[in-house]
This record gives sequence, C-alpha cells and structure tokens, in this order.
Amino acid sequence: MANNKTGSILNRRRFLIETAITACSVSLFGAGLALYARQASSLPPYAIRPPGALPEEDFLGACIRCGLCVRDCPYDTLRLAKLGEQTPLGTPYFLARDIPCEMCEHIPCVKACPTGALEPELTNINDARMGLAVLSDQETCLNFLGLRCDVCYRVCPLIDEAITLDMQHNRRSGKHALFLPVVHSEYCTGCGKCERTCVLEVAAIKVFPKPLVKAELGEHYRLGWKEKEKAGGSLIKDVLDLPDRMPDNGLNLPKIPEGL
Amino acid sequence: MKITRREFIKANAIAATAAAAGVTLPQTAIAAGARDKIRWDKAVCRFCGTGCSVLVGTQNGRVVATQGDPDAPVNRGLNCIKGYFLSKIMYGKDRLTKPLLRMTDGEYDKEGEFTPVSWDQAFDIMAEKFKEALKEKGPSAVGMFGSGQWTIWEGYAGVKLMKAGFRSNNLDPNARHCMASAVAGFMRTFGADEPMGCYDDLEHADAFVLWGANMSEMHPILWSRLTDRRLTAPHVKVAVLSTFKNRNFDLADIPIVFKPQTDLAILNYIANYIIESGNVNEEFVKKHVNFRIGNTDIGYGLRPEDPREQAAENAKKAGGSKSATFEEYKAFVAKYTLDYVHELSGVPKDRLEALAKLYADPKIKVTSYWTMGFNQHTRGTWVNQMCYNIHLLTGKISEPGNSPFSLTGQPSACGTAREVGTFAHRLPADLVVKKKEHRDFSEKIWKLPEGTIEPKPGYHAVLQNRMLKDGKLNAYWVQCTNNVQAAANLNEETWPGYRNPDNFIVVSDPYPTVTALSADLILPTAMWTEKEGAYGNAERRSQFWRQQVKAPGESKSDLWQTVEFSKRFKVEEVWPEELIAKKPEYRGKTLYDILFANGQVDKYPKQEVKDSAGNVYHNDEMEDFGFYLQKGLYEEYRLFGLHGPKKGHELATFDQYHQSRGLRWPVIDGKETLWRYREGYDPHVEKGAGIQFYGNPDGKAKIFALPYEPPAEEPDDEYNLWLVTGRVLEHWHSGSMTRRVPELYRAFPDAVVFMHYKDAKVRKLRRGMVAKLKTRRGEIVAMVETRGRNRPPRGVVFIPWFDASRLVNKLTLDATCPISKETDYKKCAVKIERAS
Amino acid sequence: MNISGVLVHTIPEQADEVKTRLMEIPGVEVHAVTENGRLIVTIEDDDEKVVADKALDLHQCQGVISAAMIYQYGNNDEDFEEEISI
Repeated sequence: MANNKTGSILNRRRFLIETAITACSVSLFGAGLALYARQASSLPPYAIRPPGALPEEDFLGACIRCGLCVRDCPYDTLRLAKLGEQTPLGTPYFLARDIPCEMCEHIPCVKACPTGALEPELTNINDARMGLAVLSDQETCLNFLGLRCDVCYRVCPLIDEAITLDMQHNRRSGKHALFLPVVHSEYCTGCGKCERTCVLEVAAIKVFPKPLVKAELGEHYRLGWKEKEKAGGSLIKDVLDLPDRMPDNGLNLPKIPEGL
Repeated sequence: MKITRREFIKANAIAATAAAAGVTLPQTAIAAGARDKIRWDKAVCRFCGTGCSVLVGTQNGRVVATQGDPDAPVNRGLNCIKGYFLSKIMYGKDRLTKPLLRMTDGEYDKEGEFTPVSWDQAFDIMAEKFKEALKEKGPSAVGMFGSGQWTIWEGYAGVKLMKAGFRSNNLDPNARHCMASAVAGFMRTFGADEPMGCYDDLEHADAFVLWGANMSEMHPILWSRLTDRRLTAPHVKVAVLSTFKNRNFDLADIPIVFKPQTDLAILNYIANYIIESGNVNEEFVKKHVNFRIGNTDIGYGLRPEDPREQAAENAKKAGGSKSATFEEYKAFVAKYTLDYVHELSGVPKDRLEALAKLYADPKIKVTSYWTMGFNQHTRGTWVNQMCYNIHLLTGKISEPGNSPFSLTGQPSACGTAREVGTFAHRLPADLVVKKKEHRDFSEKIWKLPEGTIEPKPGYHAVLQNRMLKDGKLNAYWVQCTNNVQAAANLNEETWPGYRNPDNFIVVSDPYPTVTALSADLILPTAMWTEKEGAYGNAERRSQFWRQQVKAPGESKSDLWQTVEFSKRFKVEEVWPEELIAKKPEYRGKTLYDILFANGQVDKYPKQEVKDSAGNVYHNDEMEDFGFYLQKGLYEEYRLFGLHGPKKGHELATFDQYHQSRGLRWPVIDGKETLWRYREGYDPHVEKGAGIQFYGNPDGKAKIFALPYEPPAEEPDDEYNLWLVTGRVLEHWHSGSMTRRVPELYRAFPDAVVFMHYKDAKVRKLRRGMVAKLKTRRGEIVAMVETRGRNRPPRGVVFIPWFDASRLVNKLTLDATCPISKETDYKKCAVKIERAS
Repeated sequence: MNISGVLVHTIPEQADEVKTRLMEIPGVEVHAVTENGRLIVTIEDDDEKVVADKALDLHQCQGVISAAMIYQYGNNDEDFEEEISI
C-alpha cells in the first residue's frame, strides 16, 4: 500500500516536471532556432564527450549525429543530447554521476564512429582523455577530514596512477594519517568512475572537460627536478663540491632527510 | 514539551508549507525547535574488530545521524566509510517485522511458503521441534549457531540456554570461521586467549610486519594510525606479506608476495636466522619458555572418509605434542635455510633476509599483525604459534611496541565469542567443558546440579553443517550471522543440511539474508542500537551502549528471543530424572526459572536507564521481563572473571562500562591493563618475576617446533589457479547491512574476480567480461577485473564474498585447520573460463 | 501514514469560501490564510482515500488556482499516537 501511494505521487510529480520541460522546449522554439543554436554550441561543464572525441569545435563539425556510438556502448553510458538540453542537439555525451565510462578495452564507441569524430587512432583506452577529475571540494571530502573513505581511489581503473593517496599526518587527531586523493592529469582518462561512486550527497570529486580545469605553467619557468629527470642527470656537468670539515665526533650529526 | 508523533509531523508539514508561502506560523517554532534537538549518546561501530567509538544521534525515535567520537582513544572522531553510513544500516527497505514460517494450508510445511505468524505460533512450533529432537535423540540433536556480532549478554544467554539448559555443547559462533586459529594458537602457546598488547603498540613500534592482514581495507582506522607512525617516525619500517598485492603495499618498505601456504616456511626461516645469527634472547628463553615438538601430518579437517584424512598419520591426534629442548628445536628449523625457503616461497632472498633482520635485531621493536591470512589456513593454529615463536626467541613481547598482535575481524569476536566462550568446547573466561574443575565452577556460579554440563565438546561450525546434512542435528537455531553465504562448500554440505527434511532450521535476522531464506522459520530481530549492547574489540576493550530506538514492527533482540524461548521448557522435558534429583527444588520449573530468574540474573529491578545528562532510554527487555536483564546477566558473567580458575579476566562493573568509553581488561583496582604478562603493566605478575605467562601453570610460554606442510588442495592441470577469498573496505562480511546502504552499494555493487591480465588473456578474457569460476564443488560467474585495488600475481585470483547474488562459498573447500577447526578460505583450486 | 503540507493558491476574493469547502474534505485541514489568498493546508490519508487522491480533490475545488505539494511524510512503521518529547 505504502509503495502505491508514493508511486502515484511520484508519477504525478514526474508528469508535472515533464510538462514543464515540454513547455520550456516549445518556448525555445519560439525564441528562434538561431538563438538556441548559439546557446547550445558550448558544451556544458558536466557533459563529457566519449573517448577519442576531437576538440569540441572539430567534433561538432565532424559528428553527424548518427547515434552509432550510443548504440554500441555496452553500458548505456552514452546518450544523445535531446532538444532542450544544453548540449548541442544529437551529439553524444555522458554524465559521470549517472553512468560513467567503463573504459572497454576494445573501445566499441570509437569503432562505431563512421566519421572520425571519435578518433580511430585511439586504440588504447588508457590514452583516452574524455575529461579530467578534480577534487573540487576539499572541505567536504571525507578523506580530507581524516575518515577512511578513499572510494574514488580504489574504484579508479588506473589506481595509483590517475589517483594516488598522499599520506600526511593528521594534526587534529595526532595519531592518524590523512590519505589525500590526488588526481594526475598525465593518467586520468576522465572516465568518471570516481564521480559516480563518491559517497557524498553531492560528489566532492567531479570530472570536467579538461580545458576547463587544467592549469598551465608559464613558459618562462621550468621545474628543476623534472628537467633533471628528463635529462637523466644534472643539466650542468662537472660541478666542484668540496668536502665539509667536521670534528672527529661529527659522524653522529643527525641525518638530514634526503627526500624522494 | 510532549506531543504525539502525528502532531509533530503535521507541525513540520505546516512549517514547511508556511515557509514556502513566506509566512510564519506558531508551528514553525515547534518544528524548528525540534529540528536541532538531536539526542547524542555513545555507542560502538557495528562493523569490524577495531571498535571505533561513535556517537549516535536520535530524533523522534529514529537514528538520524552518527559521528566518530572525537574523544575516543581508538579513533578520535574518525570512521571508515562503513562507519560513516552507520545511521542507515537499520533502515533498509526490506527489514523483517514479523516471524515468518514456511506453511501450506495454515500448517508448517518444510516445502511451504513463508507466511507471517505470531511470536506465540513461532515459539510453539519451534519448541515442539526442539522437544521432539531432544526426546528422540538427546541433547546432541539440538544446536545453535551464534555470532561474534552478538552482544556480550546475547552470547552469554546463548551459552546458558544451550550448555546448561539443553545440556548440549552444540553451540558455536561464526567466529569459528574467523578467530578459532588465533584462539587455539593463544591457548597452546600461552594458555590464555587474546593479545598481550594493545593498539598503543602502534605508536611505539619501530617495525610492523603484516602477515596476511589487509589492514588498509579491513582495519581502515588502525591502518591510518600505522601509516601515521610510519610518516612521523622516519626510521619505522613496514613489511607486508600477502599472496597478492593489495593496498598495504603502498606503504611497504619490504613488500613480499609469497606462494600460498609458504608463510609456514618463511616463519621457520626467520626462527632459523635468529638462531644462526646469534640473536636468541637467551636469558628470556631460559626463564620464560618451554619447547615442544608438535604432531605433524595432521590432515585437513575434512570428513573422515576423505582420502586426505585417511592418508594423514595424525588426523585424530592433531593437537598432540611432546616436550623438547632448545637444541632439538634448533635442529628442527635448521633445514629452513634461505635457499630452501626462497625456492619454496618464490620470495627474493634479499627480502627474506631484510624481514628476518627486523625480528633478529635486538634494537628494533617489532609489532606483527595478522588476521584471516593466518587464521583461515589449514595450518592456522601452527602459523599463529610460529609467529609467537619468533617473538619469544627474541623476547620481543608484552612491552610497548614489541607485540605479536592477532587482529580480530568481528566487533565482538573477542568480547562475545571468546571471552564469553560461545565455542563448542568452551565456557566463560577461558574455561573449557573438558575439565571437571571448570565445569564444577560454572555449575556452581549457575546454581546447577553437578554433572549438568556435558564434558564432550559439541559440534563446531563446520561439523554442524555436516551433521545437519547427515540428519544427526535436527533442531537448529542461527542468530546474528549469515552462514549459508559464509560456510564453505555450500552445495555439498550447508544447503543439503538446511533443507534436509529431518531438520527444523530457525534463523533470527533483521533482513531476509540467504540464510534466513534457507530456513523454515525466520524470526525478525532488533539490531545494533535497537537494543542495549556491549562489544569487546581486538585490544581487550569492552564498550557498552544503551538502546537508542525501538526496533521496527514485532522485531525482538536475540537476547529477548533466547530468554523468552527458555520459558517453553519444563526441566522435566530436558533433564534426566537423576540430575533433577540432585536439585529437587527445580522440579516443575522452567528453564527460564532456572537459568534467568535464578536470583542472580533477575537481581536488578526494573529501573529507568538514564545517561548523565538525564536523558531516559528504552530497554525493551527490562520492560518485558520486569528486571534489568542485561545487567543481571553481565554481573553474573563477571563472576567468572573475578573468581574463576583462570586468572586475568577481571572486568569492571556494568555501570562503569556505561560511564566509560570502554576499558581494557583485566580491570583491577580501577585501572586498565595495556600490556599483559609484564611486571609493572600487569598486576598478576609477581614482584621480581619480570615476565609471567600465567595462563600456563609454570608461568612459561611454549615454543612449538612445527613444519611446513602443503595445503589440502593445490592447483593442477584442470583447476589451475589458486582461489583466494576475502573482503573489501566498502562492505561488511556478507553485505547484509552494507549492501542496503545505497551509497555503499554504488561504490562496489557486485563482486568481481581480480586476476592478472595475462591469466585473463590466455583464457580469452578481458577486463569487464563475464567469467565462469569453477571448482570441484560448484561454479559462479563474475566480471573480470585486471586493474584496480588488488593485483594478484599470475596463478592467483581473488574474489570478495559480500555479494549475495554470486555465492563464493559454492566454490570454497571446507578444509579446516584440524586443531582449530577453522576453514581455509584462502586456498583452493579453481578453473576460470569465458562464460557463454 | 502519509501527511502532506500543501500550499493552495486561490482567487483571493474567494479564499474564505475555499477554506470552508476544503475543511469539509475528511483529513484536510487549513491552518492559515495569507493576505494574498494562499492557504496553508495539511492532508492526512485515511481508510477511504490516500493523500495523492485528496490532493487531486483540492484541484477540483472551486476557487482553487493551484495546489503545490510542499512537504510529504510517509512511514507505516511508526506509532503515531506515541508521545514524543521535543
């Protein structure tokens, strides 16, 4: 009985919402398609393109709205934008919080694409860059608070690469560690599993189109330790270093941490 | 202010509607005033053996929120993700609210449909079936399967009803599947159960060695303490041993993946290394240790007709041993050389050596942790003892940071299963049914005639299922556990046992678990803070909580069920005349009168349960029975620790526990005990003795010489992979609670099989494809995972068992440690292929 | 047991009449009428009709422009007559 009652209310509510949506779409038509097209030409930040999608502008040019990638997605992740949505009509996208990309090894969506809007060169799903996960709310993330959730980390298909846990001392408790999730853009494919499984009411980690969130270092500055690693050694050779003079008992000086 | 719930809800409705209209009405004040009025009281987390303290927020008769207790010594306000969702575990949509009996046309029928009945009807049929079994075959035909998640008094009431009332020792807890090997190891080495150290070791050790304990997922809050120690004291080293790479390896200085079962050899190699390198703490060994050689070739706890049992020389004398000298022990372990053990285990030599050095170096304080990797092992008792061997050889024991520490899986495996003694061979406070002195003492406390308690141990967990199948155990009651999903070899033993037409199976549970649905009668059960409770965690800390809310519908606590059921039996129906003749005053009385209304248990009259802030709490059992049942049971149980033949089990009073955040026993002179057996820390150690392992009469611990022996089943040409089973952080055990929390379900919805991508590839499998897992006993399907948290080496696969939709125990083998009778869930042979 | 809070918009001049009419429906209570003709209403279900159906009845009522469900409570397991402290 209880369920039926709730059921009828729910159905009614859904009916009202859908009516409202139809009304909105109709008025959109009224405002003229030109305006609509302009509005929808930029991808809303929550909509993620399938793996291998060309840069947005090229993608919109190449995608013929055939829906084959959607048809071939085995997890019903991909959907086609409908009229009234902010995403350009008929183009494929997914919402990570609803159904994330399962990163199929054989990438059926890319294979299905007849025009190359999804780049056929993408053969290793790990190379996909659909978006980039961002831990957008450190205040609410349970791990930043010291709890042991780290669901986003464990669910990450590229665990320890795309998401690592940075371990730090929890100064509040004094005897526990914090395990802070850190996303690495070098590996993150933007599959959205982390956003999907975040246990909070509203996810603390979210996937966004990469250009929206990725910072860029100024051309005028390089990271010394990265350059050294790239070069396989110091960039300057044959540097003179003299030994430090120590008293005889100086061997017991506390050791300075060497770092990584 | 007092109003009815209807008025209150209406006030909320009016306030919300008025707010939408932008007006203020008097009801707004009522609703707003109550909104923040959450009553907070302390409790303990429902899940693992860590024992994190939580505060439970109740409002309008519902638990609406929880928080980690910021002042609790164990967790200081933190929880893992299961603890974060505690407030949701009681409110799954399919909570059972009425007893359900299988019926056809209004009559009980083993093949009938579950039909709601009254408690009276439920107990009528149940009493009829128990009486029938008792009459026809005697006490051995009735049995009970309990739980390390029972509260302390639920376990204690279970022991009394079974061992004293029905005079049947066929009582065993699910802790048989998780801690029995730890128990047997403690008893054989120290003569007393449970760890000598405590969690404070975490802040004192220089090195941690994890032997088959995936702490990062299974004891998340302790892991965060261990990690913090490693981060803040740079000299600290962490060694991790496992049969596959898990999340612990992130922190490992010495990562070791070994071939299944070879942990036995590695431990003997370390002992050999300690001796060879001259690092035996000779003074310690001379004063505090005896040596023994244990029986070998002891079989695998399978059915006696199994060829492996027939072939085993000492299958019937698995626990036997003879005394030995240090020299003999030295010679025994001498063959476990670096070369031999490297060959056997597949572990690189430098890692084996690095590990051995941690133990051997007298300057390094070592804490060893283990859980199911050791305990669920066909040589579980041995492997526990062999770890004690290396701590005893070096004297690294019973002091801050030097600690062999067996971590418990369940929240009250220690408090209820072990301390209360709900095992088939035990009585409270480390007493055993075999010893007359122990039975006599128990009978005296319980005011029973001499000879009431049977001397022969009853059927243990695995044997119970076999005896159900064989039709020898006919009336059976399962409380607070999901054994049809847990017990190994479901197809060949458990299922035929439960559905055997000769048997009547009763299952008490809050939810329709696989076990409940396999029963003939389901009793709806109050859970966690729907009743007053107490748990004992891994570090000997007992923690109490008050009843916070009412259970839904007609649900009753396990305690109520056990005690109420005892009213159905007249003593003449269960005891022989010669026994009654010794206590003629018991004539005509019920088991309830004898066991619970005995002047002790009913000593504390009905009273208000109040906290220090003056809040008043329900106590449904007190309401029904007319006295403070929990307090009476607890104070009677406490007598075992205060006056029993085994010393060192002193507990604080009932009221003290309700006032505290938990206390570590023995509690003597108003003080907790942090490290046992060492003078200064433990008041039982005589002055000047330094160390006394007083569980054994001579105060010495025993080092057992024990060998490496192969497992019961190994991969072969057909079943060519090792199958390892276990848990994941997101889910507790069989998932009956955590899978009902939507967020946790979403975080890890279905069990997947973790395997090496090359093992997948040669089987034409890819990540995300559905595979069939097949053993000699059954098959299931699961999705292949070649990435993710667990990375098995080639030849090994891992699958968690929380998922009721794919029962992993169809695959597992019911081979046990022949001494502890605990199943090895970590090793059997499996074949994996594409599911068509 | 279901209890709902509903905000009913009426033609302001007819607000009082609507109030009277609504009060005749069993399980419906009007708790306040605002200046601009809106009614704060609660609905409880009874054996005859469930809340959802009664909400539809509100719509049918003459003078009602709209009825918006603001608050919904549903639970069958609780004792609604039990006294609670707030």
